[in-house]
This record gives sequence, C-alpha cells and structure tokens, in this order.
Amino acid sequence: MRLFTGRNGRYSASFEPAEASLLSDLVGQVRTLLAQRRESAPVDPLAELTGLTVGPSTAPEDPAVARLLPDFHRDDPDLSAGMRMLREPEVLAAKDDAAAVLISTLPLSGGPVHLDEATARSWLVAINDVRLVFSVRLAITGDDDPLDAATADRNGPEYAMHLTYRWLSTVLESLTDALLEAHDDDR
Amino acid sequence: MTLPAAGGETDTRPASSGDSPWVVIVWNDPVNLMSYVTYVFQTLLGHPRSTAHKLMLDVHEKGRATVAGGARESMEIVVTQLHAAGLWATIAQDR
Repeated sequence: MRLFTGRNGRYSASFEPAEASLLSDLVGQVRTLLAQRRESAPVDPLAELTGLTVGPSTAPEDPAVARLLPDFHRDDPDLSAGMRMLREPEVLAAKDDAAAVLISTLPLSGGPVHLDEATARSWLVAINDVRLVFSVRLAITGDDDPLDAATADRNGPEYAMHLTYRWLSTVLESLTDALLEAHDDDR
Repeated sequence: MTLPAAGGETDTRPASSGDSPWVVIVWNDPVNLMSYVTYVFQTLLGHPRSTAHKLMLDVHEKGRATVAGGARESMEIVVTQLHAAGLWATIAQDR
C-alpha cells in the first residue's frame, strides 16, 4: 500500500486489494461485536415513550468489548453503573458510525482513497478500535515487540495476527501524523 | 486556563471550577499511539498542541493525567467522547 499523506485538507493513501478486503472485514467484525453488545441491553418499556435508550449496567464479559467500553469511574461501582446505562448507547453509536464511514469510503477492490478531515477522523477511530480488540486478543501489555520472540511460530495464527496488528498501527500512525501536521498550531 | 500544579503535572482545570467540580482523568494504556493521544487531546479537548503533547507525556510517563475539569454534566460528556475515541478515561470528583 501507499501510506497516508496529507495535502490541503485531503488525506490520501492507496490499498492493495487484499489489504482493503482485510481492513473492511476487520472493521466489519468490530461492528458485529458492537451490535451484539447493543442487543444485550435491557429492554426498557419506557424507551418508546422517552426516546432514550439505556445501556447495560455491567461491563461486557468479553474483555475485548470491555476495552472498547471501559468503566466511567474507578472506585464507585454504582456511579459507574449508572453512567454506563446512560452513556454506553452514545459510545456504541459513535464507534459504529466511524466504522460505517470507513467501510463506505474504502473500495473493497483496493486502490486510492482521498479523505476529508471528518472522514479521516472516522477512519482513526475505526482502525484504532480494531487495534484495541487485537491488543486484548493478543494480550499486548507493553511496548516489547512479541514478534521478536525467537520461538515465535511463524506458521501460527497468532503470528499472523501480530503482523496484522503491526500493519494497522503503521496505517493509523501515518494518518494521525498527516492530521497532526495539518494542525500544528505551534508555529 | 492552564496552571502549573505543585507536582509538575500540567493542570488544565479552570481557575474557578464553580459548583461541585469534577475532573476527567486519562489513564495510560500500552496500545494507544502517542501521536493519536496527542491528536485526540488537541481536537476533542481543544488544547493547543503544546498542552496536548505535555498531557500525553504525563499520561505516558506518570500513568495518568487530569485533562479537563468543570461541572459534572460537562465532564460526563467529555469522558464519553474520550471513550468513543478509544481512550481509557474516568470521571472523578475534584478533591
């Protein structure tokens, strides 16, 4: 692929067909996890009247989903539960919107992409959410590169996941750097 | 308004917090890119680049940073937006 560069409010990259297909698939998988979580929310009989959707009061059991939907307060479980019920629907909607934008602006067969500012921000969130899920599945806890392990099984699925995680990080870094450069107010 | 705090941590709380001051704390995690965290602090919280960068370094080096302060409702909105952006953040009562 050609990594992201920015110019005059447009952020451009180019994807191989296999890369576009992979990225689209991974973002779609995160959307599925989020949708499953949304469906697990309690049914509120007043929701139709009030127009308010309420989230669950407890954190997701799947640790990857829990990382996408962390607690709101460190010490007060009641306060955290209350805030989760009130705010989790918004977080789910924001993440799903970002994922939908990426999927709709990334050609499945690859090729160039040109993003405006708002679309680029959606891409950041969507790609980062995939990274967060991977990090939990791969138990990434620090800056050490697990790929360097001499005993790494290069044919194993975990190795492939690590390579994909590293690629996602590179893509995210390139887009973030392009956006930061366009917004450098310290000159 | 940015005031230097006693511990050297960048204090981003407003000079007068009003009723029931609450703060938003961002916690370090091994996954989020430093550049991404800086960008979120700059765009979502409206901090100038230098403040955003300093806050990001505080999170990275000290494990946490207070990134906003104010009325509870406002801080709830901020922490929700930070969660949407993938950061690990919590709300707390100030003192």
